[in-house]
Amino acid sequence: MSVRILNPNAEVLNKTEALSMNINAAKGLQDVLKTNLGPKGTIKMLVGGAGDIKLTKDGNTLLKEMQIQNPTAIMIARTAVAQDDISGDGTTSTVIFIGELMKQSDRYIDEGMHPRVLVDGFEIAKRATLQFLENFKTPVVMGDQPDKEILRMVARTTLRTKLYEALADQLTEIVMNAVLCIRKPDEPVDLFMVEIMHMRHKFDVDTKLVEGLVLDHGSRHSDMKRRAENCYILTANVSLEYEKSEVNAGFFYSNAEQREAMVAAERRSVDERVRKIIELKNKVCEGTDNNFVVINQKGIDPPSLDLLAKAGIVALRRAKRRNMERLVLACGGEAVNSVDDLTPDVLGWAGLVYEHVLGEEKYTFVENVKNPHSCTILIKGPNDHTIAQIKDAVRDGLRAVKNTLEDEAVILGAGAFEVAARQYLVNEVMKTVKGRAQLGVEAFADALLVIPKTLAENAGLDTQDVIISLKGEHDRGNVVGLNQHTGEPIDPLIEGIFDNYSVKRQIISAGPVIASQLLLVDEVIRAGRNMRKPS
Amino acid sequence: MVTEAELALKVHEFLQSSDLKKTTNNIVFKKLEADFGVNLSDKKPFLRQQVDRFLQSQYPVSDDDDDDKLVLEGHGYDVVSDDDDDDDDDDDVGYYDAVPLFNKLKSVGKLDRHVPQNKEKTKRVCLSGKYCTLSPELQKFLGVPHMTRTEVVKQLWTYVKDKSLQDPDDGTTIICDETLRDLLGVDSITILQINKALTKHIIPRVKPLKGDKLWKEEKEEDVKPLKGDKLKKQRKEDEVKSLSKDKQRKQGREADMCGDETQEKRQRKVLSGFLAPLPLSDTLIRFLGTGETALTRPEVIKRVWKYIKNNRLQDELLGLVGEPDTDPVFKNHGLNMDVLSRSGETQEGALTYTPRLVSVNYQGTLGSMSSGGTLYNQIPDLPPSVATWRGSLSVQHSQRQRRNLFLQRLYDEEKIQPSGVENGHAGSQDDNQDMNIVQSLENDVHFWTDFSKVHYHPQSIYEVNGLWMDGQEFNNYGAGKDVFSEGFRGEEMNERLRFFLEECDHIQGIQFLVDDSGGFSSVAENFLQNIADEYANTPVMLFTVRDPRSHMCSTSRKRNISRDLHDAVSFAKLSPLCKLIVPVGLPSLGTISSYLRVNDAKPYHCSAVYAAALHSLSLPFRMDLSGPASTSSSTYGALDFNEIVQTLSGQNRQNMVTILDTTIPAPYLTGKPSEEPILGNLQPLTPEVSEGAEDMHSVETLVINGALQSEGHRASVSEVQQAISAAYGQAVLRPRFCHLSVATCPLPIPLPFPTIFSDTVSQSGQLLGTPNPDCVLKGSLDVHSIPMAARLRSSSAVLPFLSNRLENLRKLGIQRGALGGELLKTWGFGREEVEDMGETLAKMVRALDPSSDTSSDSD
Repeated sequence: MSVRILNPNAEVLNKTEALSMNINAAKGLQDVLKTNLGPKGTIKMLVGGAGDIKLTKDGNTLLKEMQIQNPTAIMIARTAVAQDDISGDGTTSTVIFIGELMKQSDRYIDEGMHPRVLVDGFEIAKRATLQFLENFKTPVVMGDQPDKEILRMVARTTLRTKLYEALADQLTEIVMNAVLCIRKPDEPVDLFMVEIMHMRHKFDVDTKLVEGLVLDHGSRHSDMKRRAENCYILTANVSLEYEKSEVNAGFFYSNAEQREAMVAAERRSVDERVRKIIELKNKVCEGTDNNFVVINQKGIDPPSLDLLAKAGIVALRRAKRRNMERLVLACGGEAVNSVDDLTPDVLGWAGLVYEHVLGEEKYTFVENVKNPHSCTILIKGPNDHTIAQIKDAVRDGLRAVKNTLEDEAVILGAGAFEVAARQYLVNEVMKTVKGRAQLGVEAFADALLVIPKTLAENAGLDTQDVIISLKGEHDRGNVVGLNQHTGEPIDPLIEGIFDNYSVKRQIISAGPVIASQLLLVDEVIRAGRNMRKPS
Repeated sequence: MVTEAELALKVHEFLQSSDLKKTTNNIVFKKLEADFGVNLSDKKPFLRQQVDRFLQSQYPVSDDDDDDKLVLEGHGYDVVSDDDDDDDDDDDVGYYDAVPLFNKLKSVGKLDRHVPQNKEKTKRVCLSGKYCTLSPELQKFLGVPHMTRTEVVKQLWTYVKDKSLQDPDDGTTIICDETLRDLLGVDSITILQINKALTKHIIPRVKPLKGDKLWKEEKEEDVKPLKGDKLKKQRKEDEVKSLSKDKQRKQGREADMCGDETQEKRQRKVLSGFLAPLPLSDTLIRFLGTGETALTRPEVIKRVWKYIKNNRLQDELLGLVGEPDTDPVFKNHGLNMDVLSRSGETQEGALTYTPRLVSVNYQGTLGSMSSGGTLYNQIPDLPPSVATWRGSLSVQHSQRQRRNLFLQRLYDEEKIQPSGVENGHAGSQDDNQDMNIVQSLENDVHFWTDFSKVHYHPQSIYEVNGLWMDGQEFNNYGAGKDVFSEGFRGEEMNERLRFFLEECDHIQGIQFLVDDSGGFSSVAENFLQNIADEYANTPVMLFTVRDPRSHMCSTSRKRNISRDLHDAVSFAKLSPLCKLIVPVGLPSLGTISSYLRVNDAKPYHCSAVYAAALHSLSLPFRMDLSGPASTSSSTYGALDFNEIVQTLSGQNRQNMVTILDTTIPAPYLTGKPSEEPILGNLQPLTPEVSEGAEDMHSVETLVINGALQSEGHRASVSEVQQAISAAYGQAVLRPRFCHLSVATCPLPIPLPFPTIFSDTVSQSGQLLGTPNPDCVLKGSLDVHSIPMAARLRSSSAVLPFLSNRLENLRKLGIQRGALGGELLKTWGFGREEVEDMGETLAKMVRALDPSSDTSSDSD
């Protein structure tokens, strides 16, 4: 209360108030997100203040769209969003797990237990669970020829929680092939090498994988071909526009001729660069009907475009920086930063380059490439929110496949891990823990069950029945998950329901940390907030 | 109950005695209702019939030139457009009843005369348009011997589109390929010439056929103008600042259109008032931009409407029509509006005109505007079905943002509800509405979108979501540190900028506006860093804009330290990333001009002043350059963006911190005896500037637009030039170099401009006498345009601004045991980095004041 003396306006919450505020906030956030979980979850449509629509089943997106004000909720949300940044999925699980930990703790704290003891129990349980996770995971060997079936199952598990089955299955193939396409042995997978492009056009099921690249701009000259076959691709980062030199301010010239001369000199050097490109084109295309495409990261001004067009070259300007890398990976060759000493070796190759126009938007497809190491997932949909939702799902799917490749392990899904871990904690770990920390372990173990419980709840099943039958099967030594349709136990291995190892690990390690922090809050002080508030 | 016979009699009596030019069906109804004292709404159809019958009996034929002229003069309520698809009679009735009967005479008369003819002809030929024989060349090109002219042009246009033969710089020019060259015999041709070129290939064959639609009447929008254009509010964090496409241009265009309408009307007469595809005037073809040279009239109207709707020009229309003698300076403004705006096209083919702008702000700051804009995807009234999920759906509505009166009216006008328009006829009502709008804006602006009438491209508006902070917490450099790099935010912002830059043939530069009083300065730093990497040679002019509230002193010492440090850090971090930095934002705008009353508490007011100054600054690089030595009567002293930056910062001193001065509204050029002319009246908008500092090396660029010579007389370009050079000649403190740009076109005051002018500012911005401090303020309804002057000044007067920051950084950050050391650490700065920043600032101070003690080892 000493704060009150210093600042009479300070708002102080004492221990119990602070705790109950934290618990309520965690529970509140859990309530919002829990209907999202699983393939039977609820999709949320958010209609903004101006009537714009966001569609999401992704915890991450939902959290970001919410305008959270409660400081506790913000803490949880940040943890959950960090979860997404680190492992690509599991936001919803993190939030409901934290919520459940707080809820379980609430029961014990009501009975007079000190949070500190609970937190100690959490810590023990967390370490034990992580250890259990190591033993529980299903290792998969990802050699040069990864097991496509496993990748497919992991991707499908993720995607089916975001999109309806048929579309999810279609995207499963797409994301799997995309990741395999960019994967290089002994190197971490760089998902940026998969371009995700969207077109507001046609339907969600027209989403496809383009082996090659789709650029979101076209050539800016009317004489350039709109469709070219057998193309050499020059990937360049060379300015082909007239740039004013530094000392070019109007009053430096004594007369108009001087200015003209200056401009002409500048122009010449640009033309020279263009000429070098044309030379290369002539060299490689002479006598054949091959085409030549320049994709430049810098600008190309109309006179240069004109020269290039006259030489029969298709040129695109201001390509994305990342597309420079992707192009080289997709088409071969290398990106050049200067047009001096151009050799045919730097050129890539594409069987087909064509332009697609939708209103003012132009798309350039670079396809039929040899041996691509970069590709594009082209998302189509009738409206922006559909596209955005598919895009989120695709990102999650890509992450899931990447994680699997890197973890070289998967975890049985459908709640199987949580039930197994709970049984392990209760049956094995609790016996080794002395004193009241046992209760912390118990609370942790019960909190784990929130995942299968929520899955059951979302599927409209009776949670108690489901948990009892799952526990029973586990006690009999069968590792089972929940069948969302019937509520019966199933073997996730047979059904092909797999989660990412790294996602689970992240949830288990991040959740208790934040829950412990919140439980240990003694006092909440708010002071001096409204100083600069607009009148 | 009144019988129909009685009614009929009364109608005829009444009409006999009344002035048909003024009487409308509505007036007749009201009159009758008053006479009989009963509600006649169920008799309306009957009454209408009676009125028509009367008209026919009075004027069986009315088809001479006088009619047309009258129709044109009576814009207020001429003509009703009957949309082709619109079969809903009730809607039309609204228009119809409000049309003065006299105007109807024409249509009724024509109806009477031509209906039979039409039937006859329909029997004879069942094709539409004028069938023509084609020349052998054209036959070869099109593959058929006969075709309507429309079709020919259409085919030709399809061909051009298919082969993308349009000049990318100028969509109206077609660069001929082999085939076209053979046909037309030229290398390139504008759409305007195509018709002519085709003439020799088209030989008329069959007589024209009348369309099957009845010509009712045509209508231009009949709403009292909302004046003006958009106003950019700068408090928000804009990049690629774009300023108003302005009124003048619209008016110019509309003027053209009106000319066309006249022409068409004459042609219509020849065609007996029925809807055949009509040849269009060149201006109209260019306006429509689709290359069709002949269209049915409803189609023309439809397109014009579409254009008007899409560009929110509708409200300008009557303003122009109402004042046939619009000040010619607006028409010949000599400015190239496309410098800051782009024209585009939606997927449905509708034309759009949007600013080249990327705006970044946090979520929830868009008010009632959708981040996708409204042009490219209309928000449906009902949430659409979900295509991607078969399971359950929960819909969460956040509280709907109410549109304020101003936006609501824009919105309504776009929807063109005929019933609403009917009410809009009364001029006084409209004035009232304007007043209400101005009133509501004065008190009701919460978001910058509340007074923006511009449509934005969907790529323009970016909302940073997932910050979970409001303006109060997001108030220092540290808060925004990771915003740019987190997730895909930076990527997304870069993409949006790239979208606008990719389509530019010659990028002059980027105007970057940032509210640097909070976390956005670190967002801006990251963004600028990216711009510098990606577009190395594109000059960036950075305006750091703040609203007066950010200067408020807090009672908390900690907060003050944080703020002082933030200011120093953000300035030191941002300035190296641009070519020219202009700090804008006074603690109070109260003293900016005796003719303005700015309420500092209202960001809406301050933004208006800043925006007006920035608008003027943008003029030099928007002037039409017809040649290096050419002289124009409306503009002088065009500079491109790079030249401005180089002029100011590229001199020997290399000072890149400039001061923005403005005078709004600008006084008379010659000045009244009691007043100083423009030069002496420039007030700095940059804070912490020393006054009257003598600086022999200062460099200035001065922009004067719409200056007035004396009462009621607009100064010509050369007059301004002379006056200014004379003023400089007399001035005590003369800059080393001054560049002057002049535009005759003043700043048009748009309707949503705040009411901040004192009562002595006249409609065209003349200053009549000394303002009375307690006067009633004038706003956009009373002041239509004002002369402006704005100046960028690279001078040592900015020294206090720099040294304050340097001092703060040293005192709070660098000194051993400095109070802000910890804070800087939480913002992620190591000691070395802080010292680097100190050095950056010290260097800037040294550049302006070599004598200053800038050794950083003062601790």
